[in-house]
Order: sequence, then C-alpha cells, then structure tokens
Amino acid sequence: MDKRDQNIKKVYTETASAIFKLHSKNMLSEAEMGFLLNFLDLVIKRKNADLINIIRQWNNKNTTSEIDEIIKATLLNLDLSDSSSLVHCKELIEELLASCSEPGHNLQ
Amino acid sequence: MMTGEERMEQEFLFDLESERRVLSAMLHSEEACIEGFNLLAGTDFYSPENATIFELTCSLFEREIIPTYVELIKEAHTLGMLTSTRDIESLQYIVEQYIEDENIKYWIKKVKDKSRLRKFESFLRTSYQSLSAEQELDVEQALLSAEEKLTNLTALEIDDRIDNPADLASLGYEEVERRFLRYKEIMELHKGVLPLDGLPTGFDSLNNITLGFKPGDLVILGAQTGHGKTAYALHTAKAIAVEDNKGLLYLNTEMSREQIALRWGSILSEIEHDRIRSGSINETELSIIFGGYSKLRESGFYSYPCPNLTPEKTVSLARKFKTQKNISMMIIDYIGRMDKFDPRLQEWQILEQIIKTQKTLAQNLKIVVLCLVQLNPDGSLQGAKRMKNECDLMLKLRPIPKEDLEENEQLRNYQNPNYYIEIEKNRDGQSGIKIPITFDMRKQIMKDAARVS
Repeated sequence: MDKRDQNIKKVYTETASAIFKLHSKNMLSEAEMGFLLNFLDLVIKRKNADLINIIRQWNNKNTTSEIDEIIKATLLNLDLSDSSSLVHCKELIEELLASCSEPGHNLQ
Repeated sequence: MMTGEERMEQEFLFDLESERRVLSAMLHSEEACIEGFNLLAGTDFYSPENATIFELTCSLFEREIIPTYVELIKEAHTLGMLTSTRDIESLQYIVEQYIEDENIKYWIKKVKDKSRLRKFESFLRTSYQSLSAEQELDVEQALLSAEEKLTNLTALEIDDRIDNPADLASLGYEEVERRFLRYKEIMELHKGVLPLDGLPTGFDSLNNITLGFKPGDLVILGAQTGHGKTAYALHTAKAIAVEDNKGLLYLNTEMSREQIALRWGSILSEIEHDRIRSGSINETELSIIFGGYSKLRESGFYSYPCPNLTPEKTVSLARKFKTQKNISMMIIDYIGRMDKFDPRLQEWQILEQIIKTQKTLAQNLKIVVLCLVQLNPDGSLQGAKRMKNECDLMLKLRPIPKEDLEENEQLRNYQNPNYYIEIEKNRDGQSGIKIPITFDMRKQIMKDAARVS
C-alpha cells in the first residue's frame, strides 16, 4: 500500500469513526449517520461522481435554510443502490440550486 | 488480584496481535476473508470484541457484502453490537493496520494454535480439579477419559469423525433402508428406471451407470486438443445449472468471457457456433438465441475466466462460491493450463498434486469437482495411474475409430454415433464401458446416440 492509499485509508477510518461518535453523542440522527456512512463509502470507492459533484455544489452555494432542509430530507430518503432514484434526486437538487441563483432569490 | 506468575501463564494463552492482524487482513482482502471464514470460528478468538468483529465480518461476507469499515459499523449498529466509542476505537485500530494477504495463513495458524492451547489448558485445569475433588478415584477410568479428551485435542481436526460400532451400525441401517425404499419406488413409481443419487451427467446412459455425480466426487474427463473438452464441460453445466438449476462454478483457463458467452448461445439455441460468431443469422434465429440466454440468466451458472489459475486459487474460489452461492459442482477447464505449484517438479508430480488438492476440496465442501485434462495424441494420459487412484470417475472422450464404425455390430444399433465416452474408472459401479454419443461440433451439442428403432 503506497503513501497516498495509506492517507486515503486514514481519512476514511477517521471520518467513519467521527460520524459514529457524533451519533453516539446524539449530534446525528440514525438516518443522518446511515446516509453519511453510505456517502463516505461512495466517495472512497469513487462511485456516483454525479451525486458527489452535486453535493459539492450545494456545499459551496449560499442557500436558504428552507432549501437546505428540502435537500437534506431528499438525501436522507435516497436509496443509493437505486439508479433511477439517484437520477431523480440529482435532478431535484439541481433544480433547487438553480432556483437559488434566480433573480428574486432571498439570500439569508 | 492476579499474581505476576498467574499473569504470565495467562499471557501464554492468547495473542491479541495475531487476532488483530487476521481481522485486519480479512477487512482488506477477499482472499484473506475466504481463508479466515473457512479456517477459523468465533470461539478461536480470545478477545470477545475480536470474536464479535470476526462474526460480523463473516456475516457480511456470507451475504456477499464487502466487509469495509463502514459496513462493519452499520452491521454492528443494526445488531446493537460494538456500541461504545471504545469499541469503535479498537475496530478503527484494527482497520488501520495493513496486512499483506500472503501472510494470512501464518496469522491464522497463530490464532488457531492459541485457541488449541487454551483448550489444552482448560483440560489440564479441569482434570486437576476433578482429581482434587474425587476421594475414591477410579484411576483406570480417569486415565481413559483423560486420554480420550487429549486425543480429541491433538489428533482430530474439526471435520474428523471416528465412528463407534453403534454409529456405523446405525449408518448401515439407514443406508440399507433408504436403498430398499428407493428400490421399491423405482419398481412402483418409475417403472424400473433408476432415479439419480447425485447430479445429472447430461447423458441418460452415463446417468444409468453412475446414478449421477455425487457430492465429494472427483471426476476427470480427458480429451485431445480440439475434441470437445469445453463442449463437454458446458454440456454438463447445461444439465446441472440450466436444466436442474443447481449452482455451478466454471473456471476456464483459456477462453475469454465473450467466447464463453458465445458458446452458450450456440449450445442453448442449437444454432451453428460459427454462424453466431460471424453474426450471419436471421431474425428468427436471433430470437431463438435470445430465448437461450434467458434460460442462462435464470440458471445457477457462474463463470470465472482465469488465465493464471493456480490450485490455491481454485480452493479459495470454491470455498467462496460454496458459501455465497451454495454451488454443487465446480468445473476446471482445464488442468494442464494451471500455473504450477513449483516449477522444479516433473509434469506428472504437478498433476498429481493438483488432482489430490481437488479431491480433498470436493470431499471437504461436499461438491462435485470435474477436472478436464488433455490426452496425448495416442489417447494416453500423462500421470494417468496416479490420477486414476485419486478420482472417483475417470472418463475419456474420443472419436469412434473408423474401423469400429465399420465393424462393430453394436454400433449399428445407434444413429450417427461419432464419439465414445469411455468409463476408465467408476468407484461405485461398472467401468470399461464405452458409451456411444453424437457430438455435433458445429453446434457444440452432445447427446446420447439415439437407438435405431
């Protein structure tokens, strides 16, 4: 295992442990922990680049708390093994993010 | 409070580092997972935490889920295990170690040895306690009982079993009764036709002689280059995995995935292989071929094309597929193309080793292993005597010689026979028999030669 792989592994285990610990301290719900662990696996296995990109866009965008809640609820209900559900989720988040950029959108 | 001496004694009984290394390797590599799953049990681990991690890993592996750190956390969480932060920290510590899977056997042995040592220690302790407790000790009886326990500890592996006279008599009674009832059923229900004892062979005549391939059987089929080894393998696979819907693992050392898929198209549609390869088929034939693939889709056929197949790899794959897909048979197409144990060995020594490994594998996993081997141009087989000793059924697939076709009276009773399946050895029945079959090389189809009405 080369240095880079070792680092990736370290980040992976540390992140997974941190997610679990946050859940143990009641700072993450059961569903939030489940999603974040699954999402971590996706990132490490470099699967579903589309979903990762859209979440990255969301993270970089200045969105309202209402839109954040809708996106979060959408992600928590997402079945990562279902490709049609993934496509639908991605489209929905894209629309929500696009609506934030439209004129008249209230920035918080 | 434990004294220093007691603590020293305790430390001899476990090796937490080896336990962690085994678990770490299992979480990094599938090969290590297969080894660990097959050679260890949760009770071999001294630390209850490690035993839990091992059980969780095995449970994921059995369900074909790669046991990553995240999957382990999720599984443990679902089952209400490893709930504290400390548990997760020890799991993280294990995951962060990286163990080359080539070393896994060494670490497994260390864990296993400590487990046996603990059993020995427990034997010594309980024996001493019973000695101290008994006032009127029957020395002879005590020694005999101790000897039996010690023998179980030293000589017997998990799978070994010694039958006492009563066990053997019961087994004999059950077997004879089963056969008696089956014979009655044959006479009354099947009108004298013997039902199979094992998996179908794909040929009625071979079924009648062998009563099918039985679990634990090692079957060897020899044929010359270009004389139907793969066609025979896929014909057998069709009978077992497609028509009988049993799990079957097919290991091919020569052909690509595409080649294997195209062969199936021909076998299942009965359309010439060359035409399918070149695509010169009409729309009706295309739909027949698609119909064939639908059957394959629903079958129990698992294919693993592997040009660098080694005997160790076959063991590992068979264990994996037995656990995850409950296969009844493994076919190796073919032995001569397998990578060698040791390049310094003679060809016959290598073949002998491979065949011995496959026989042990068939018995341990209670599956049928069919090995295809290449015949020399004169029809002989290198290392044949040794192979014959090891196998339960040895078959040769050969074209019927021209003079036989012209002079053999028996063959006149069949329509278009062109190949023989020769039974060289049959542990449970008749051998020295030649079964005439019809092999359509263009369609890759084999069948019993039809009798002239």
